[in-house]
Amino acid sequence: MAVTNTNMKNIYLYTRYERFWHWLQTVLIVLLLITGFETKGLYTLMGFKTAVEVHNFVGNTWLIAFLFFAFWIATTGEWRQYIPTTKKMVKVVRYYLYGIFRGEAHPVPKRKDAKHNPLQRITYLILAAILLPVQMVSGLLYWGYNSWPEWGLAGLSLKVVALIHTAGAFAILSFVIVHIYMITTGHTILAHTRAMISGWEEVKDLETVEDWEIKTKLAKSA
Amino acid sequence: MTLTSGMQKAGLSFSGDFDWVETAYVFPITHMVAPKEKSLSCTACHSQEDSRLAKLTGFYMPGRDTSRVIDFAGWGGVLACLIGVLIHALGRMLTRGNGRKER
Repeated sequence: MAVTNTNMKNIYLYTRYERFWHWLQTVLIVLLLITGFETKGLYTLMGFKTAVEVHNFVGNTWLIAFLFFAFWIATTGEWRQYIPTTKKMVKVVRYYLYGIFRGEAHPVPKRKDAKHNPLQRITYLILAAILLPVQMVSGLLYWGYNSWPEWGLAGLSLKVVALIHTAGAFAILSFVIVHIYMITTGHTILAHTRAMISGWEEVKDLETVEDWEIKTKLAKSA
Repeated sequence: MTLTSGMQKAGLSFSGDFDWVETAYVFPITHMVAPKEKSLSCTACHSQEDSRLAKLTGFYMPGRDTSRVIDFAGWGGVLACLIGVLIHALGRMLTRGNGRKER
């Protein structure tokens, strides 16, 4: 019953740059995963040489684009959306393990100034602050292997760099799988995807709907 | 002139007379490089199976070398994620309508 009473309202959640950055990364990550695993010898798709060349180009592209993202997140103050918190963390975990099957409401609805729930905050912090930088640094080192002596890195082990890069790739692939699934958990299957395309997300308008109003609406709709 | 000074430097006697001798020298102008059609592909070496440098150890070669531990843990993690989301999705499908409004 509770769900029928709720008004839905559209909020502008993702700015044009955020959406551009998201989908650019989507393309870059997919290309990097495909070419990276080909280089690893998992399959033959575009040939080793092409795979390596594409991987190098896309990797460097991502590195440069990431510097713009770092600038954006620092200057807009959006980094605050990534500060981890334990508040409501248990509630969110409980929701995804139990409440979602019961049709309960999400314990932390999205808001413009709080786009991420506690679980997303910690996930995206680890992703953007640790996993991706590790992947970019190890990738850049891997790419510049022939210049290591000039860079004063002659003592570095290619095996260590390569294996860190491989482990990071597995972590990103795991993230992608869970991410693609999690975006279907909105109030409709495509609600979150729609928001990342148009910028507008439909959320429950809990604040503006008061009890007396709900009754009126119920009476009208009944 | 060059010959004289060269022989002097070597401490050898030199008459001053010299002449040219016809020689034949057989050497492939391709410096033993095989024709284009027979050139190697990257994966001739950068491969886990039948790498031409399979037995050349002591360094890491992309495509040939890997870590079983990382591969095992990596694919294990990926598989666990896949199974996890499939079970979760199945759960949502089976419980749909159970307290959840159909849209």
